[in-house]
This record gives sequence, structure tokens and C-alpha cells, in this order.
Amino acid sequence: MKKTLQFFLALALFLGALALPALAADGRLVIDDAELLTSDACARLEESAQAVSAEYRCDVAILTVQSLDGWDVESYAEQAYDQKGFGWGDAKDGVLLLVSMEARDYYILTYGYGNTAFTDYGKELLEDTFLPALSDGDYERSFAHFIENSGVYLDQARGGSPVDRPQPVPQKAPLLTKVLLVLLCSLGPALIFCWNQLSKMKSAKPARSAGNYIPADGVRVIRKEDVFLYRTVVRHKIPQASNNTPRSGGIGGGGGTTVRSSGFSGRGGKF
Amino acid sequence: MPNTATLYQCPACTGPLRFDGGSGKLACDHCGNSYETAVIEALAADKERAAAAAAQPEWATEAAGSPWSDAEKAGLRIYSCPACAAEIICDASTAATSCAYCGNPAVVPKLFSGSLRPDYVLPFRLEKPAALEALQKHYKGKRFLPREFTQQNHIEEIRGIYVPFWLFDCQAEADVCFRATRVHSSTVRDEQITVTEHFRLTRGGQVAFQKIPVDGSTKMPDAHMDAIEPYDYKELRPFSTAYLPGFQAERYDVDAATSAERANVRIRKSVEESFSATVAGYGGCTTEYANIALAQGEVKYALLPVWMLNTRWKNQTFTFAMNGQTGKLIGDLPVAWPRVAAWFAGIAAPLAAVAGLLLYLLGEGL
Repeated sequence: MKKTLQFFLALALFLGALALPALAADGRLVIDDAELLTSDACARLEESAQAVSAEYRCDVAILTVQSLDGWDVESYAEQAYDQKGFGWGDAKDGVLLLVSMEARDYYILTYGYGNTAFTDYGKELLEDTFLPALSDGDYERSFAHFIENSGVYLDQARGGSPVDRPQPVPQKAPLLTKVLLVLLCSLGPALIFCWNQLSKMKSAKPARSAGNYIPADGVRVIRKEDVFLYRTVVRHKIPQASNNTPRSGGIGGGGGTTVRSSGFSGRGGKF
Repeated sequence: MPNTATLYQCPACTGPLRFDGGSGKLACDHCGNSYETAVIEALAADKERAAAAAAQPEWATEAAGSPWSDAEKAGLRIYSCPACAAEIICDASTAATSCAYCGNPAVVPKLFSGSLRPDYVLPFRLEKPAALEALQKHYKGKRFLPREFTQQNHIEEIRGIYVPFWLFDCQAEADVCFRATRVHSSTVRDEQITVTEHFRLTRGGQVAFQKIPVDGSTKMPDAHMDAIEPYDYKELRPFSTAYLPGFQAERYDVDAATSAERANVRIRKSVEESFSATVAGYGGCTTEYANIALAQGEVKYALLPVWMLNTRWKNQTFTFAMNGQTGKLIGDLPVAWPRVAAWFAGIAAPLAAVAGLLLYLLGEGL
């Protein structure tokens, strides 16, 4: 009996080890499976991640792994986000930085309100804040920058203007356009008036038709036939405004967030 | 062996058509359209009809006018202008002192001879003061008329002239063929699809014309004579020299057959307009051909009343003509170009200032 119990326990541990990601995170936001951080550094980062997440009610999480186990980084990040239980509240709002040491991949994944706060352009800028340290192997500094700047992004989003591509400034009409507009507004009516008055100066015009000499019942249409001949078809491609659909949190002008059908959005690369 | 095959062309792309045994239609391999054989035969026949339409309708011009009686000839005088070759007919009691057309005072009296006796005359209803009044009215509201023209200008001569007109009566038998289109537009996914349907419309029937006037005088500008139309023919009377005293009558110098060309152009245009008015429900309509044959096409010779007013200003002659029956007066007027420029600038400058100010005030966003 004891042996049977030991067997099932061992099997459960084995299957659990195979599962991806390995274990539920127990509310932790900084999971260093790749063991890049000291326990103290991990604790410090955990503390600041928890603080930022609580303040903005949006999880800011970090996961380091040695390998992606054959998955692509995007799918792994999505699976890990679900499996580790990242995301604040029922809406699972959050942002996750995944770092895999095997092929030196990193990936920023957002979900829910994270999609609003971290736009495509925002993610691009966010990369610049932690990537240099990550490339240098200074992981604690890199992750600290990630958490700190995520807080800044969330703060801006709470203020109603997420970090996004700058809105194109409405350009002032060039001087030539203004001049043309003024000319059109002034010369147009003047031309119409003069043309109308000039046409009154010439009243001797030859007659083109003889409609005045057709008596009241003078027109009799006896034969009337309408025959369809052929049709021609012309097709024009309608230019698309943008390929990014759907969007959330965008403020226009080529910004916004490209959200996948899974509800995630992300951006990654090599460090 | 003679080649009897007829090459039919696709009306859509002009490619050769071939008979498709499966559908029983004529098919175009180039654009993919197919047609009933009857439609293509009708289109081929249209081309022949279009060529035939160029032929002018025939008029029975010999019935116009009649010979003068000896008594009438004895009561008439003819004056010839050596300057412009006009020939003016007056009754014995009216003396022509100058040419009604060019104003030349040296008109030469001649014995009356030849020419046709008019069938009708439309008596003058309006007198000379009415013509002067109409001229003053004509000047009104003309902002570009030189002030000096109205102040210094004096009408040199006002003459009541019976102008020779040929009156064309006919019943036009017409076949008119139009090409028309209907355009539908729809959007499917990322494509704007425009379908244009092409139709052949034929209209056949009759259009009656009563007394289309064409002046038979080279001296009278055609545009002036056309522009003072129409006349009210209810007052048309059989010709009598009793209507001539006090007025001059010009002898025609363009015969009825030559004048018929102008009548034909107007008839053709009116037939097309009348039949195209029966075309409804199409976007665009153009005339392919109009075959017109005249039934009961007859011509009459009539004298119609015209007041001619001539004036000279800056070595230029200005001619005004007034319908002696209805009072409609026409005539081209000189243009004071400095006044045109002043009006143009007067309108454009304040508008430019207002537009500029508005642009400046609203300009921050522009």
C-alpha cells in the first residue's frame, strides 16, 4: 500500500514537472526559473513589482526560464501568463516580461488593461529602458528598470494618455493654399458676375432648334424600343486605412495596440 | 467561291464575334459578352441608316411665292444700293432715301421687275416710337455699356422693313436611335464595382412643324433674325401691297432651296430633342442617328415686319433689330473694358479682404 502511494506521488511529481509552465506562481510576480538573480535581488524586485501592481491594479510580472521547451516565445509567454496565474483581478490585467536564456529571447506580453497601457509604440520604447542592461547581463538592474518604467506607463495610462506614437500635429495650410483660397473666394464671384454681365451684351444668337414651331399635339411617337446590348464592369480597389485591427487604447495617428484574437498583445526579440 | 461572310464586331470592344452553337448567341472571346443575333443585326443596320441620315430632306420649293400682277408692278418701285447691293421694294408713295442696311444715301431707283410675289405678309403692329423705347430699355441694366455710347450715340436711322422670309411647313417622319447607359455601383469587401449597362433605344414617329421662318436675305444677319423670333402667325395675312406704304420691303436674295438647309438643321435638332424627351430612366443618352423624311414639306414666301436701328460709334456700326409685331429687340452692344476691370476689381478686392481676414481669424487651425 505504501509502495502504491509512493508510486502515484512520484508520477504526479513527474507529470507536474513536464507541465508548462511548471507550477502555479502563488501570487508571485517575479519568477526566476533561470536563476539569474540572487534571492535578495529577487525579493527586492518582487517587492517593487507588487507595489506597482497594487497601485495601478495591473500586474507587472517577470519570468525567466532556461529554455522554451521547443515553443515559440510568443506562445510560451501566453501559456505561462495563464499557467502562472498572472494578471490582476478577473480581467487578468497585466504585463509580463519573459526572458529565456537558451536562445537569449525576451518578450513583453500584455493582456486586458495592459493592452491599453502598453501600446505597440509604448512597448518599443519600454524595450530601450531595460534591454541594454539585459544584454550586459545586469539582470537585476534590467528588471528594476522594467518594473519602474512599467509604473510610469501605467501612470500615464491612468491619466488618460497612454504612451503612444505622437499624434500628428495638424499642419498649417501652406501659404500657397491660403493664397489660392483667397483668390478663389474673391475672383470666383467677380468672374461669375462679369461673365453674366458680358453675356447680356450679346443678344443676337442664332436659333438651334425649331421647338417654337411644333404645335401642341405635334409630336407622335409610334415606335418605341429599348434593347439591352451589353454591360461593362470596372473594379477599383478601395485603399485600406490600416492593417491594425482591432485596437484598444490607441489615440490615433498610426498608434494603438495590435491585439491578437487570444486577447494578448506583445513584442519581443533577442538580447 | 465568293466570300459571303459578314464580319460582325462586338459593340463593347469591337472584337470579332463568333456564333456560339450552345447558346445560340453571338459571342465575343475578347470581352466575354454575348448577344442575340437580332440585336447585332439591328446594330449593323443602324450603321447603314446613320449613313443614310446624312441625306437632306426634300422640300417642294416651287410652290413658294407667285408672279406679280401688272397692276402691282406698276405701283411698286425698286431701289438698288450700289454699296451693298441690297434691293429695296417700296410702293410708289414711299421713297427710299438711303439704304436700310448700310445707310448709304445714294440708292438708285429702278423699274420694278422680276422676283416672286410673297404669299403672306405680317403687318407691322408697333410704330417707330416703340422701337426707340425698346432700345432705351435694351440699354438698361447693362453695367458694361460705355456711358458715352448712350449719351453721345444717336440712332442714325430707324427703318421699318418687311424682311423676306421662307416659311417651312412639314410633317417630319423620323426614326431616331439613341445609345443610353445605366450605371450601378456597389461595394463588395475592398472593391468598388461599377457596372455600366448599355442600351440601344429607338423612337419612331412624326413631328409636325408649322412655318419655321428662315430669312431670305444676305443683308440681314441670321443671328439677328433668329433672335427676334417668334412671330404670332395668327395675324398672318395673304400678301397685299396695301401693307407696304410707309415701309420698305427687301427683295429676297437667298432662294428657298438654299434657305432650306438652315430649316433642316433646326428640324433635325428639334426632332432629336422631342424624341429624347421620351427617354426616361437612363443615365446618359446620345444620338446615334436621326433619319428624317418629310411628308407634306412645303415652303411659303412671306414678308415679316422688322424695325432696323443702325448707329455708328467709334467707327463701328451697331445694328439692332426689333420684331415689328412683338417688340422683342436684340442687338450686340459695345463693351467698356475699363468698366469691366473696375467692376471685377470692385468685387474681388473687398471679397479678398474679407476672405483674408476670415482666414487670419480662423487661421490658427489651418
